[in-house]
Amino acid sequence: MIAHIAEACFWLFRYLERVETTARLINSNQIFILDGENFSKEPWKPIIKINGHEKIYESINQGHHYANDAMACQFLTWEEKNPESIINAFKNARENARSIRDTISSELWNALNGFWLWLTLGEGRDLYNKNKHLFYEAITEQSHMFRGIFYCSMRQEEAFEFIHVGMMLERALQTARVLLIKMEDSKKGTEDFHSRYWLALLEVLFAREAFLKCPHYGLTRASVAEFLIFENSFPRAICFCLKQALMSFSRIRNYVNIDHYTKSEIELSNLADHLEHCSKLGYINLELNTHLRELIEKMENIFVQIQVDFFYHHFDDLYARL
Amino acid sequence: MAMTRQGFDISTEQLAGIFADYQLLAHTYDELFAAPGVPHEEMRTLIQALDPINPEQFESYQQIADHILRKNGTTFTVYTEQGNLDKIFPFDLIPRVITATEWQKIEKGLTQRVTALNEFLSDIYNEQRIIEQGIIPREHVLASTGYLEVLRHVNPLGKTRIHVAGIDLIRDAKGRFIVLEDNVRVPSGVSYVLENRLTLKNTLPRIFQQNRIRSVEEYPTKFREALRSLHPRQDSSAVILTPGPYNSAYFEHGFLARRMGCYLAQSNDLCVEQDKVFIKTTRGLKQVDIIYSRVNDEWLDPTVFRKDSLLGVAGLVRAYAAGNVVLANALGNGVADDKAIYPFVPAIIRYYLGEEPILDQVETYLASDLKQREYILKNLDQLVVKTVDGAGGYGMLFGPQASEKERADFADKIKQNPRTYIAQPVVELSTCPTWSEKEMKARRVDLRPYIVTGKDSWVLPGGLSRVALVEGSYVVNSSQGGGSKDTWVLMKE
Repeated sequence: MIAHIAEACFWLFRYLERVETTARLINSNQIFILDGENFSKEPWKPIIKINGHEKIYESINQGHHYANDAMACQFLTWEEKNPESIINAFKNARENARSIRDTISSELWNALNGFWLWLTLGEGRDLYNKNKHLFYEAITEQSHMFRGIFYCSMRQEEAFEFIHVGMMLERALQTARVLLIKMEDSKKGTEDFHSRYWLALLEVLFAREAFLKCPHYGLTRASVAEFLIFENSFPRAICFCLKQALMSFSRIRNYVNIDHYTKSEIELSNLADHLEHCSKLGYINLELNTHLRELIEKMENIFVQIQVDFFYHHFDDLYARL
Repeated sequence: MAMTRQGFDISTEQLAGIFADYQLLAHTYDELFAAPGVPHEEMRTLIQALDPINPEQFESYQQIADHILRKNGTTFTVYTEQGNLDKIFPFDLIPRVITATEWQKIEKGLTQRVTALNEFLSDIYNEQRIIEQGIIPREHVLASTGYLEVLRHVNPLGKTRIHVAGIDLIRDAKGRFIVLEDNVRVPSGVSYVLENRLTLKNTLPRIFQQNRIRSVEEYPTKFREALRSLHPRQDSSAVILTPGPYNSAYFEHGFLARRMGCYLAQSNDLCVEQDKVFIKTTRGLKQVDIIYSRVNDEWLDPTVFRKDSLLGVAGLVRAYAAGNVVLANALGNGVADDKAIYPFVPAIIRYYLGEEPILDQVETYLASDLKQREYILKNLDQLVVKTVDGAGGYGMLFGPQASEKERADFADKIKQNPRTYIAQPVVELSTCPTWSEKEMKARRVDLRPYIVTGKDSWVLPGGLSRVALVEGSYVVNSSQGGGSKDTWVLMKE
């Protein structure tokens, strides 16, 4: 397929995964911070950090105002200067979709475009003003719908696999980022505080009930990290996502009919192998945050390498784009 | 505007919004207001946040809350000839607030009461010292339908018998919290405590922001840990046993299974082999170590209790007696929450703990006692008569509001089966502002806190505040037109 079409496919669900994570983070945080015991002076700081642009936030909202719900929600949702606000991330997703309308199914395009109209023509804003919980829940539900349409309305061939690789790798990256910042942010507190804190983290990643169904995991920092990194049966755990991405890679190899492994596939395979064979206890109990930072760095390199391997023949403006 | 030395005072002039016309009920304590137009000190910020909301806005918030509850499926099913209706348990947006100081006393009082009742049950099913020493008449205990002689000398794993209790509290005219009744068999409603909180947070987050309210989130975790602490196996497996989807509390059974991470099983899913309980899975039989049963004792095991029970598991009682399974709550607890035992609870506390009861309770007359029965029959128009094993507000007579005929019928019943009845004076249940037909009205409330006991007891900071939605009504039961509210326990300053 044409390289730039493949690239747009690759990016489509990367943006949508980000939109979903942001919506989930806001909804979960809004509820969490209302409990008296969970009081924090800057309750929105970790969320802005995960979203990635705290400098812009601080420059827009002179002083920090990490305690102000309205400012934080505005920044994370509507702020045009925030490249990762929901509106901007979704705009990018739609732009990508528009450039590949002939590749994706029209059902998928219609759903994406319908949601864009909902967000921009007033209805979404009205719901946001009326009830934020329902607004963010609507975004989550739309995300499920986009994925559902994608899975059941497109042929599973090259374009499908590029979309899928983007979705899975981005999801692994999001899980790692959320986990890292929540780990860094977890403070000393009572056992009860921690149990609520870890449950709220799991909730962001749709993992609360799934986690509780595995009784061998106690509700501790180590178990939560183990589940979100290593649990092969859970679709948002990092290992699961990496393996899914690898499967798509091998199918792409077949479609493209190349007889060698691309560099990105080798790097990804090494990363997945490392996680598969490392000592989980060591990984989690010794320098977990360092491990997560390294993991995020490796994944970011893989994203760059994918661009090099499949979408660009030259390095020109590649780094600028990212 | 009225000013005080401290500065601004909230006076009648200042409450110009939805509380402007709020009327208190005479001779009744109000949960939020100390006097007309004057909220209790610690509830000011809440009232100030709520008051400016205009009635139309308030109505729309109420609709949002209902929508959220309906969407979450926080419903119970009503079976009618026209079809099945999923109804929500009416939820009122105005929270009921309890101060940190009040809660401290409640917490201690409830823990004390549950500890004593647990001791009482252990004693009654073993030596029966309390009977030997003449503190409670033998026939009085043995006549309780909740007493199961067949379980004498059967002791549960970990000794705890009341793993979860719902001790209903009411507030009298003086504002004192007093115990109305004990529920130590299958107290329900805790899922509404969590869902109401979540719904209110999602509907009106800003009213939480000026207050520091204690979390109710950890209930499922606490309950799960409490049950697990009683079984020696490290990776013990737990199930919730439900009578099935037709049970009105099925929502709650599923809710707890999801939140506690255990199987939701019906009786057919379980079986007993060699006194061990197993669950039938796709991978074969898997041993079960802990059962949180939402099936009443009498239906639980057809080989021991009701032979016609389809809800039970044959052999379960033997497995329990062999110490192979934790059953929550323990079998035979009905003797402890029998309403004819209730008047003895203060004596029970003194006997086992050597302490004075921290929480008072309602004066109670036993129809089984000749003198007390005469008093009851003479004063039926001033008393509330209840059956000793009744629940849900059924089978009771509310004397002051009953007709001559109803009272006469009840008098006959009492004479025929005196052990079945008790009577209590009417307590002026406290009121709480409640949104009713687009106005704020004083409606009566009670409180069901939940006490979880494994190795130790833990009281959920909050509980289910049920509200009688009908004007003048004292009956808060959900089956009889009651609704519920979020219950806030404030943190210490």
